[in-house]
Amino acid sequence: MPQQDGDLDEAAPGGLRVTMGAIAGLCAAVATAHMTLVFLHVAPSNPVSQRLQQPIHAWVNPLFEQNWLLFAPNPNAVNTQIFARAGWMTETGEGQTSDWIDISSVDTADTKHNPYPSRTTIAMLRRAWVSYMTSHGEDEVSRGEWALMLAEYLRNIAVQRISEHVGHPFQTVRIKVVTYPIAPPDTGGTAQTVRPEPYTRTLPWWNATSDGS
Amino acid sequence: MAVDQTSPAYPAPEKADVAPEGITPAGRLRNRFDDVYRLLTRQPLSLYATAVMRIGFGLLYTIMLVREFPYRHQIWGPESPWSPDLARRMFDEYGLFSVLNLSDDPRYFEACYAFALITAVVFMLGWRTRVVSLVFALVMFSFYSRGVFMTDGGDNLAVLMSVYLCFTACGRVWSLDARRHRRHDDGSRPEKPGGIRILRRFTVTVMHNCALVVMMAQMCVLYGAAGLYKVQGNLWNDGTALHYVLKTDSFRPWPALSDFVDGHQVLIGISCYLTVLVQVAFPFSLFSKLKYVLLPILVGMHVGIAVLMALPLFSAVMILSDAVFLPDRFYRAVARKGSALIAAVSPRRAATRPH
Repeated sequence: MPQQDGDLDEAAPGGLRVTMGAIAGLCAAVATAHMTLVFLHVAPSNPVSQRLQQPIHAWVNPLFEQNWLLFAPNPNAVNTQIFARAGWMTETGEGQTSDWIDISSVDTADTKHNPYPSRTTIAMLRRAWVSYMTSHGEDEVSRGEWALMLAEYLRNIAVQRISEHVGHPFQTVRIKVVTYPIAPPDTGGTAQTVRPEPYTRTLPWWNATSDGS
Repeated sequence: MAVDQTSPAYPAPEKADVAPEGITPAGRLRNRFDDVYRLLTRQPLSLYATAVMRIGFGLLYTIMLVREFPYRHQIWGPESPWSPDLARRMFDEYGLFSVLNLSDDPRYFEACYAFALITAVVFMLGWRTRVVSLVFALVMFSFYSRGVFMTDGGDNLAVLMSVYLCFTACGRVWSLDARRHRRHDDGSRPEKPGGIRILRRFTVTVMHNCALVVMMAQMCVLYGAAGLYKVQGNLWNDGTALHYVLKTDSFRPWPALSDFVDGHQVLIGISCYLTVLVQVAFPFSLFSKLKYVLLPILVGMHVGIAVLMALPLFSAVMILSDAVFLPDRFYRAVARKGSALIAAVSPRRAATRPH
């Protein structure tokens, strides 16, 4: 059984009651302020949240981050296949490249018939690519520190995943992403049987770290 | 709200003085204020709900750390593609913090991992709950921010709830702390409250109740936002969003099952609309019995996500957080049924422990 706290308020002498009221007021105020700031952070930008931008940001990030965008506003209606290839110098000074290696198929394979895949399978490459995509235009130029970091992250994953396939040191790495739009549901009509075409995005050659690790 | 107001505590005082005829609006407001004040300050509410959340989050985190043990270096370790250097640059930019970044020594990382595992288990058991809850929240946040690109909404919510749980008295029941109190508290220590002790107990109660309200409000923000974001999406509007989700390779653990469900377009359409409606409606249902209709639908949705999309942990975190809305009499009834069932299975234990 929970221990009963009794009716503290009624039993307490006058001075204590004031202190208790102050404590209750403080707790309620903190709770209200917290939820107000969180609400304003999640709500669409409005005059109040614009004026309070600084305090909202300072309070909510990073401890009270709110990320409730799963499949919203729309689910990503695409499947992606991600390839990488390595480049290196031979002893004679010739530039050589490996074939394109599919670095995303391992995730699809590991997800299949697995009730609880690791987050390395579910999140790592997929989120790295989505984050890269949202921070880079089709010219693949990293603008700003954040974009640079995301490019570096994607590169590190690619380097790790192709290392065992390549089997020897390499100096450069290149990534290619093929995106397959998911066809809308077949409504049984005659009209739209056109399957959306996949499109390919090829990123520039990047330097891998010298030992290819 | 769903907080338990039916505890058989003591003769409800001053219930008689509610609204004699002809009371002024100001007086009515004052009475209302007094009611709320009393509700918030008299005793910690929903102790069983918070205990269930403590046990649940401790258990889920333990499961997660065990599950990811073979991949721990990839996700949080010094060799992760999200390198310690990248993490540090991000921390500088966003004011993040992680205990894991204090050293890049692999041995330090292994020690942190072991420590996290132990913390989760101890938190689940409810030993020295207040202190351990603070450590648990720190651990959760450290692992979260170190591998922030490996997280989803479930991890986000788990961190938030673990922070809120620090302010609750979630170790008061169903915990090692409770057992210790029972042993030491058999009449040997008479209740003689001094000023400090009254204040301490009062503060604990108010903090607990405020945290409880915050947790409920947090769930409303979550569902409200998730629902309203979806309202803006054209694929949710035309009822095909789930078709695309079911066709996404990364979320297809059982392709045959996904295709089977995807074959029922009317079902998909209804599920899309129901998802959005229930999420948007949830915050408004709290003050009525409607929430007992919506909660099972939400739980069903999350079970569907868990199975169809191979996101069991995400779903479990969501369901567990919904548990904050269930009243204590529900948990006590479940516990009674549970122990009756155990008693039926093993009569000897029942004879020795009639609980």
